[in-house]
Amino acid sequence: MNWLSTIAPAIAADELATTSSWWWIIELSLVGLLLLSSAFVAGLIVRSGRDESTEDDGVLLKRPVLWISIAFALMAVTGLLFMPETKSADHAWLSWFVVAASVVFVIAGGMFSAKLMQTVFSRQIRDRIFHGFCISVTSFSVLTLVIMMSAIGYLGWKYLSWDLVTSFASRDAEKAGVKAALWGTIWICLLCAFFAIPIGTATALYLEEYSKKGRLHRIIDLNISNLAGVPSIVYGIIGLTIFARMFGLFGGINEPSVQIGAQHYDSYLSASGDLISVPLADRNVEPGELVDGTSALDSNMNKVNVKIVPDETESDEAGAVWASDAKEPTQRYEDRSWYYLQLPFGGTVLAGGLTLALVVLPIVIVASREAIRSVPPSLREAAMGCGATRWQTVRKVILPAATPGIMTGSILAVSRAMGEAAPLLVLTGILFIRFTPEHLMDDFTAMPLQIYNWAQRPQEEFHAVAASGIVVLLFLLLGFNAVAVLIRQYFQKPQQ
Amino acid sequence: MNAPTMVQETPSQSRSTPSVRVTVGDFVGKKNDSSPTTPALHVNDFSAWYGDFQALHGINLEVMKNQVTALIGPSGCGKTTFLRWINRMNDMVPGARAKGELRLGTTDLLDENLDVVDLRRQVGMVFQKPNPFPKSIYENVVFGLRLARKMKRSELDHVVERSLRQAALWDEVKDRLNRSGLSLSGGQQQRLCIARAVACSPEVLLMDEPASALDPKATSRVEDLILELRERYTIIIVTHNMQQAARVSDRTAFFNIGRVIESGPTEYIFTNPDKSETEDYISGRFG
Repeated sequence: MNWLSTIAPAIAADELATTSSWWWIIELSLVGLLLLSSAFVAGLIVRSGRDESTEDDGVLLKRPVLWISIAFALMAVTGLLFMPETKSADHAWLSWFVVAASVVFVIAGGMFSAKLMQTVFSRQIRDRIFHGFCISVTSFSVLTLVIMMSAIGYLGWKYLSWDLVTSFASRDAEKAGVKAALWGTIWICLLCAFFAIPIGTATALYLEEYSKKGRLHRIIDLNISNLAGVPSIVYGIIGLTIFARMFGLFGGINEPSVQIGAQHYDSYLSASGDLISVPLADRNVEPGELVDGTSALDSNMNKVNVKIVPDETESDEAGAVWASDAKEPTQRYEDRSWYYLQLPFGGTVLAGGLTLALVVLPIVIVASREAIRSVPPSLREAAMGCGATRWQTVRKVILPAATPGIMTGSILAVSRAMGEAAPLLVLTGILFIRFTPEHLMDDFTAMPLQIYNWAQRPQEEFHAVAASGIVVLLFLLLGFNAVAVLIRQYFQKPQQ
Repeated sequence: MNAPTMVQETPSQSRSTPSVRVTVGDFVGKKNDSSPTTPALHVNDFSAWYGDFQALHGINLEVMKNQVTALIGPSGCGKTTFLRWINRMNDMVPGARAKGELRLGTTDLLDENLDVVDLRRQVGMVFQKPNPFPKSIYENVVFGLRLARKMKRSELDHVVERSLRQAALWDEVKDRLNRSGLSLSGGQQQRLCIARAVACSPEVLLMDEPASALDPKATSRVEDLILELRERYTIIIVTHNMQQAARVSDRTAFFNIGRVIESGPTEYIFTNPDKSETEDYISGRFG
């Protein structure tokens, strides 16, 4: 596969320079073949759409651009020929020259082959050739997909089983599973959809139905298009600053200053060897000495009253605590209820969902605008003509008609979010997690992160596990897309 | 309003209409019973603009109650613009403004504080292309009613039957009111749109080329319908079809390049127009 890299001559300069054998001849001829065939195809595409009656034979050869191209092509070939003997580091310009020359070569060759096509084949035959070309390009992309899928399937086959889905990550490849990552992904994707779809749809509605088409509209419009092109890692940094850290306004990630639904406890060793827990007002209470009669919870969460007894006293009473053990709590812990919320969010499920929502929001907006725009204006007029307010028009006519498009676009956007690793990597880093998220403030890991984690390990077995993880992720994606199709069909039904 | 015989007796008929395609027969059979002709719509020196472009220049027009008024004229002459000002549909068009007097009864239609939502319930509109909502036939008819307030099912049922009967569609769809409005044929869809417009019991019905997207058979149904609806509503219809204007309207206004060239009783306009422009247009010499 060495010759493949020759396509990018910048790399090739190094490669060829170090290959002293006759290989470079084969490589060069392969490059030439590639260039020629692409030139042929380019010419075919350019010329197949043209009306030949306007063409004047012979004019083509008189065009100066053609001769310049040929000159460049010759120089390109010369450049390629001499490259093996040059050190690329000293001749970086040569690489760029070769790239430029190759492009010109393709154009020149294209013009020649187009001329050839025109004189040799009839219009109908050319039409068929182009048809064949389209088919071959399509099948090439499908073939690539098939090759990739089968490679992944072959690699991941060994570890692909139900156990993979139902077990947590492990140091042992045989026992490793994606349960935490799978649930993490499902959580953040649902949250992402929950935030991105309403906000995106509302924005699209504002832009399409409400906003005056003035300067502000153009600015917003431009910015949304630009946002769609922002690399997702940038969103990761935004998410980290805004959601995970909240600009440091509420303290650090590990010391959230606002907590809702958390109960803190100090636990003390009891006389019977169990732990008893004393509820605290908040996390910052100074650890103090236990006193007689304090109400506490034993290890089974039953209420007990603390009774301080002298050291070494044998006691079955749950609340009995030795005097020396009562001086200091053994540990402080917190119990979080299902609605637990904290500020800042930290690298939690909620922050992950919100960050992904940011990533897909521009896509959702664009898709929703497209769907809203495709609602015929006559329906709008009909509703307005019946005396509907703008909101009634939106609510009763535009949204029902645009929902299939909005949902399809949104779910496809969310399934893109499912494969995003970069923003989450910034937000949470690689975590070794052996639990599934239970509330919005749980730590999580996601499928792409888990796959990335496995793929970068030195052990071969983990590469195979990564491959099977990819298969699971693909199935998850397929599932999401299937839901998109079903939703579209469901919403389209009443309109038949 | 004169009886059809009056038309034949017009002395100037032979002079002015050598090539008129509209025959006297077009007027025969039309009920021109002399209903009280109180003006419903007053238009006085009314001008309208789209941005810098002036679409209407100082229009004067009277639209009579319970009559059909046809607006004719070449494309781009301002008929539809005028129509869309009557129920303020032009509010949606950026840069649209108007000056002059446009009154519906005592309501000033150019009042900035006018409740257009309320106005559009009084002034129903039927569009060029049938545009039923992708909802059931029933839901289509009650759409306008439901917007204003909650109504009992029995009330709604009553309105649906009444409106569909008025639109001469009841017998065809009474067994499939839950089917989609889009399952109907083009002509039926347009009649459904008419039913939707009359369901709110408007005073005025605006029709913007209501039959131009329909085949001749459906067109004639819609025309019959217009003649029936005249008894209850004041109808203003824009049409490009001269015969249609002659068949259905009591009064006709001829628009050209943003001006009303001539308006008056239809028979008069079609047989003995004052202006040669009108005659040229009606006889097909231009437009």
